[in-house]
Amino acid sequence: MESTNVKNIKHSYDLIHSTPQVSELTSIYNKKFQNILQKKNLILPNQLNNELKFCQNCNGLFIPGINMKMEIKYTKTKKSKKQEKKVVKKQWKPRDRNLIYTCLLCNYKTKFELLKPEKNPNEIGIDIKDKEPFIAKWEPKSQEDKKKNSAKDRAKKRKKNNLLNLLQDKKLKDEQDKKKSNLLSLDEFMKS
Amino acid sequence: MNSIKAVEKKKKQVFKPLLDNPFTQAQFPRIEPSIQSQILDFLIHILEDIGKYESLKSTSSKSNNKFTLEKPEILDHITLGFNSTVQKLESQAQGKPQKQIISYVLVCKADIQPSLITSQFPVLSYTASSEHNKVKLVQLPKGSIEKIEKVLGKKNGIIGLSKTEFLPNAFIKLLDDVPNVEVPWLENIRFVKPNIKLLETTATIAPKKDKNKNNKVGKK
Repeated sequence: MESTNVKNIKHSYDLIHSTPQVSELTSIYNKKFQNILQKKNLILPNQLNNELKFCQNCNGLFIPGINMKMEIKYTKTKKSKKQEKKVVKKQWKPRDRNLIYTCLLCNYKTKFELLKPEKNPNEIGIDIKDKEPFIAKWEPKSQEDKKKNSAKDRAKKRKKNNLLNLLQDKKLKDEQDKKKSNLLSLDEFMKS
Repeated sequence: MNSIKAVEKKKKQVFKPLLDNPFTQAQFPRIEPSIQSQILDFLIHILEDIGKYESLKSTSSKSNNKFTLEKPEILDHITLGFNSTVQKLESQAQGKPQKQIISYVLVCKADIQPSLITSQFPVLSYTASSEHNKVKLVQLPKGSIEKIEKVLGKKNGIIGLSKTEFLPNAFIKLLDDVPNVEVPWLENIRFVKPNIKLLETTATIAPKKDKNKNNKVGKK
């Protein structure tokens, strides 16, 4: 025969479900049920898990649709800077997925973590096997751009070809050569 | 030998009472695997149109050459995914007026992990059903989520359907034969008025006892 303790627990569990239309009564019965479990140091099986069936805040019994609302929510991604947006395309990263139960009596939310999705849910993976029409991908260079570039180059060359500029370039080159030679060549080292 | 006999003597046939608890978690209605696979075949046939439409839509949005597409008529009578179906069912349960009423919920119970996601569906489909429209909960066979993914291009384990002309008749018959969800502890819950009536009778008027008098006598 069952012991009185087991009978007591079963009866109190049944009492919670006996008056689903009166939420206050169910919360009172649930509190008593939780007290018994705490005293006896008992843990309920996974199917009757405390968070799954009852609200943690008001101890009410969850009845989906009437008493409780559930939703899967994704965490928000951080917004990237404007400069980065221009250069790099947005890459999809797996976000945290949570199942959220909201009690409609007290608006308390309980969170359950779910597995992260492997693929982007917004992407559609069907390939349609029609023949793709030939599209030219290269762009012919326009003649105006060519002219612009050549004019700029010519102006730069003209500036460089001045006598003064040429002499300065020579001096710089000579100085650089001397610096290099000071360190490495043996003859100059002996002269000094 | 004597010791074994002694053990046998001690044992006695006893009948233990086994009572099923009606308040346990509601379960999915049982459907035979052959019928499950038939339902899946019909469903995939329906989803093919939607898959093609959505893939073409995405290509048109990406490319510069935009072309107009004809929306498949069933798309207005179907919900794909967890959040959209649950929202519809919840608003149905709360009695809000709606254009589209869901009457069939198809769930890939074996493929969806963790089972926490599908655990509340039996009670939800019970609360969403009314007298005229009973919401049927159908569980699909294992591996069906991958077949759906091939057709749709997305992973979708939960699909809601409403009763329309666009569904084939044989499919509707198959779905209607599925047994209803039973939640015994939610049946017949209505606020019943206490049955109080007044009976007109007569009663004798009993004289009040004076406590003071008795006390005085006692003192004497």
